[in-house]
Amino acid sequence: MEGYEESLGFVEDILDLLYKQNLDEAAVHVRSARGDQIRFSSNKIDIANTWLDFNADIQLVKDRRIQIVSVASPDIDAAKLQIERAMKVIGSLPERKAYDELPEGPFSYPIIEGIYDPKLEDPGEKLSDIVTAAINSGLSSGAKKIAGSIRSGVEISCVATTTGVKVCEKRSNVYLDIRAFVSPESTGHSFSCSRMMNEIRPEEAGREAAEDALMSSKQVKVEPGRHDALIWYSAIGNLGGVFGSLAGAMYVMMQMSPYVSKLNEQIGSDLISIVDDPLRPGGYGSRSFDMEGYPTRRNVILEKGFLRTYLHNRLTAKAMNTNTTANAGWVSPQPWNIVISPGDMSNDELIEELRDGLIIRNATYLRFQDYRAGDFSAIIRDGLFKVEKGEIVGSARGLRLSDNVLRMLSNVFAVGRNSRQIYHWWMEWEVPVESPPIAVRNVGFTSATM
Amino acid sequence: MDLFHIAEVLIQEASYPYAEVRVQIDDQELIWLRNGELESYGTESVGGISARVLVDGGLGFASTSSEKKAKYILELAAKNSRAASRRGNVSLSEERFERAEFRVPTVKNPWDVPPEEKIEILRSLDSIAKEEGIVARSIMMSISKEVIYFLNSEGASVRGEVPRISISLILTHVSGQRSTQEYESRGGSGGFEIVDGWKLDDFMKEISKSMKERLEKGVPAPKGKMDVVIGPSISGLVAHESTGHPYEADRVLGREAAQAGESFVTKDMLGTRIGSELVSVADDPTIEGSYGFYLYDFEGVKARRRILMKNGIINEFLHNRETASIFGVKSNGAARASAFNREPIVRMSNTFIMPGDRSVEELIEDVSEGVYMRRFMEWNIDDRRYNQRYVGSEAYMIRGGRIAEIVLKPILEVTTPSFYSSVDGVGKDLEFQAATCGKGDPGQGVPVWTGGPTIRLRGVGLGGI
Repeated sequence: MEGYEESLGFVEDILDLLYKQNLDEAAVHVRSARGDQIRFSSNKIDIANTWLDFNADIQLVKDRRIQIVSVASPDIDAAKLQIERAMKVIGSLPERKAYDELPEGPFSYPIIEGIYDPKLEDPGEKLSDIVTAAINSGLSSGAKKIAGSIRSGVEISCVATTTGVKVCEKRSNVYLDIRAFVSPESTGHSFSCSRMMNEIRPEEAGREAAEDALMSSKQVKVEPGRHDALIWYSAIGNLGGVFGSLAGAMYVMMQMSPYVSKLNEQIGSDLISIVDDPLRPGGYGSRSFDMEGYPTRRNVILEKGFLRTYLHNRLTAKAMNTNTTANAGWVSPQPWNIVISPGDMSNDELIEELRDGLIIRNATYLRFQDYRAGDFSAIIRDGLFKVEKGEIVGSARGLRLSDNVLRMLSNVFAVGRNSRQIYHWWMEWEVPVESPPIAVRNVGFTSATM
Repeated sequence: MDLFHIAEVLIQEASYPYAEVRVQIDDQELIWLRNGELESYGTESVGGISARVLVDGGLGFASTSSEKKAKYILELAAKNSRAASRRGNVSLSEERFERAEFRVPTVKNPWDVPPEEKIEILRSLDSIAKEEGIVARSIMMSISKEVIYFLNSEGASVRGEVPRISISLILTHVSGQRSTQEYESRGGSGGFEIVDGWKLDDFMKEISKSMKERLEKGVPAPKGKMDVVIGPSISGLVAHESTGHPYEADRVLGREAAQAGESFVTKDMLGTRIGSELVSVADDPTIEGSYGFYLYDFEGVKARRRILMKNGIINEFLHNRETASIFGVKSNGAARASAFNREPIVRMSNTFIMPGDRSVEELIEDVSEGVYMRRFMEWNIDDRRYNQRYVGSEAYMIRGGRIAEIVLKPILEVTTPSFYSSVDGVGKDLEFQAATCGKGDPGQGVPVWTGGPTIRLRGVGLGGI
């Protein structure tokens, strides 16, 4: 990985190049990163990876025309070549109708605690130690087979503009994703993710996955239809990321969100609040600035069921006649760190409150029939536990979650108090989520008809 | 010293039991029009060098885009291979390698076509949908060029260059409280001349009319057991999802168990009947002009057509060298990597249900009552590729062998063996869609074609809540 000084120096070199062009304004984002991973399956290591990555993204603006160029090389000549090519093209692009200028810096940025661990700069043998501990824990807890991966990364991310912004931040992350098998269809899943190496809990993750796999092997019959359900951690990670991301203004402008025209309407139960909180200490997606250089801030998306804001960059904000929420993305705004506000029930109390219903341990492969209406389905795996009279009695198979975003938000009837930071492979919109389990009435379940 | 030269020096000096080096440069131009306005125009150049080393059963990979660090990349991969060997058991099949070079020819170099001409093509498509009253329209064009230089310590030396173009559409129509959406993607390898062949103007007009009509006249889809005729875009997706993926040998072996999942197909199911004898499914990276085109895979193995399902019988899996070694066969050239910083894993290329001899009219006229699902929006399939769901977007009732009223969102939720066993008619209208297939950890999106003709399923169940 390029160092802090090198990254900042590269940003300044690019800015120098940009000042010499006949541009109205420009922005640069440089990311220098190292990633390490060990992937394993059938209790064995399949591969160990190291990535030394470098990316420079440059936004050029001339007469309300915007062009973005990206290069992967830390060679200034490569960036120069791309800028020169862009300068030949930018005049031929159409003007944007809605345009707002890049922000005038400098800004004062928040300092977010707990988002960088230097131990992850070169994790050495530590990753394989974690893998060994996770596999051994899963096997000793009853699993026959363990698969998963541990991935760590450190990055220096810098944004600078010709309008006076210059800021860099160091971030790190590590996550262990583990799946335990008792048989091909009896599986369990767990994860452990953090900004800090020493917060990874391989034994706990291995045990949790194995225990769920064992429970999954205890089959019970459940008919398709509507059932009350508890959305457990792995599942709410994926669903919560999608439900939060749909507040992105670009989705709204594309009519690809069920939140279109619903600002300040109650679209969910008053028990549900969703916040994008990039300032959270140690938050897996926390960060102090967005891609346009604005200091990030806490944005309440859903407040006791009321939709309070869409997430904006400067361009979507201009198009919708409002202010940025510091969620840029140069093209599309995005949430950084979704937090679903905790309620007051312990996990045991949630199961008791559910009384009779299902616990969805993991929900994957979420696809929409109609983003605007919010109709979707998702694959349930790693346990769909049946609860009778407040007790888990076994696990159902072959059912699919088939429902609607707005209906599910409206039907939330209990929220747990024990939140976890969630990030795993199936977070398909890749937004970290912090959430407790959530209980929803009348969730739709379908199955294969033959 | 450029990366290509560094790669040659590295492989000459490599002293590991097995080593490979790959330089890959992916250039891309992306244009996105939203409701007729340019939302985004961007270019990117992502290139670098990677290495894989196998020592004592441990496989290690490393990559960098920095020329300065490139000379250490084999060393870093070797360090990883030693770490992996603590619990590793990897071997590679023996293959015969050659020095080869392939390049997709172009008549009209897409990089020479000015952006304004490309934007105008998208604008013209947008205006067709706009005139039909479609309320939200997104149209994207991608121009890309993938350059690869692969070398290994067993004598392989392959240079390849594949230019690709794709155009994708996302359309939303709203009427009162009702809405409907459509997605479409066409793509191929070659020069800019291939865009004309897609006839997207005609498609845009047709799909816009269909979207309006279904909101005006559509009635709820029926449920229960009946005959279902599905269009090429759905049969192509089925070929990809429920034959291609479960026949990837790494999934069969459980390598993807923690990610996308395993496979309901096991090694000993080779030669087992799983569908009607009318169904054969191929995966073929060598189809000229295809989106998933390549002639040598990312392990330097010569590519060939693979017949995955032959007349309803499981015939062949997709292999890289690692899985081939375990199965005791030769690799069939299915290793691909999405970028320089991703290791090659088992992938599909152009996967399709092979065409039959029936016209669409013939397939429909033999149905007394059923549903014709021409296109879809929603789909998913479980992690063993057994239980799948396709929800129709453009769909019609069939009554007395004729197309009747429009139906909304019919849901076909069915197991893989039930699906393939119920096929009793295969059309001759083979069509291909461009798609980006996702797999791996970290995720690797690679360009593929999904393909198929119209096919008829007898007595399947349509479901939903």
